[in-house]
Amino acid sequence: MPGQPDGDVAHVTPPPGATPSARVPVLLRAPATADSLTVARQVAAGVAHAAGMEDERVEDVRIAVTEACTNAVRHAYASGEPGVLTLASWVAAGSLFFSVRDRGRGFGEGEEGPGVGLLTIRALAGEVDVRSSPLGTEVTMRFPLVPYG
Amino acid sequence: MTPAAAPPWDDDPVPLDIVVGGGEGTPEVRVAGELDLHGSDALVARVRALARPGGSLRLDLAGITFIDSTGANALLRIDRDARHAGAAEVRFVVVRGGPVARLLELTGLVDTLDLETRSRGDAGTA
Repeated sequence: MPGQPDGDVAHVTPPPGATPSARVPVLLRAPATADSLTVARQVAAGVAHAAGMEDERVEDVRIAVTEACTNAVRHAYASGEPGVLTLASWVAAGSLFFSVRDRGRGFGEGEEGPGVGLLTIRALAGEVDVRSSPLGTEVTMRFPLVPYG
Repeated sequence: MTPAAAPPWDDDPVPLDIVVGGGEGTPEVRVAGELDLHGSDALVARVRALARPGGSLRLDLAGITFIDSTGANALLRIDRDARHAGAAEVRFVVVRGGPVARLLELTGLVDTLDLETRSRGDAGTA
């Protein structure tokens, strides 16, 4: 998918209706615990509003980001092992992107990965990209900023 | 700084209000707030002991402002537990077009639970 949380993102022109803050990529680093979910989706909703997204689509973002973070909280780290989850968001190519990354154990091909949560994300986001290795899992979601252009 | 400005380090509330009312054997549980991983286990545990054989259990979810698939799974667990305990009726009150109704439709669970759909703005029944 286009765009990365760093690089030339700051030069992307946000769509009409977006506030200038939508130009700025956002990083949230939080403990991979259940009480981080509230702040993660609040940040995501704030970013989505700033990007000019409609209320109903902001709800989609809130749910999808919570699902991705929940997978990191529940599945990434062994029980009792402290872990970190990182939420990144950026605007590129007319879309708002969110990526949730953990540094947990990942899940391999054929293994049962994060199930219902990922299905829910697929139902909400325009595009989803999941990368998982023994060094961690990264779930990137794209939400088109329409209508514009 | 005044004491009121102190950061609430030890304050870690579940973002969920759970109020149990109704009578013996016909409990009504009002749930308000955000139902995600953080509040799901607490809700399931709180409701678990309420169901009685032949009785009914009613969960008023009209005050839920956010729910995800983990929260929806908690509702399924509550339904299953209560029926396993012999409850004759397990009903969930949701707002038409609200977060719970929408998520249940999205996840294909809308026909799995006994739902009582209320229009937005309707007064509560308790």
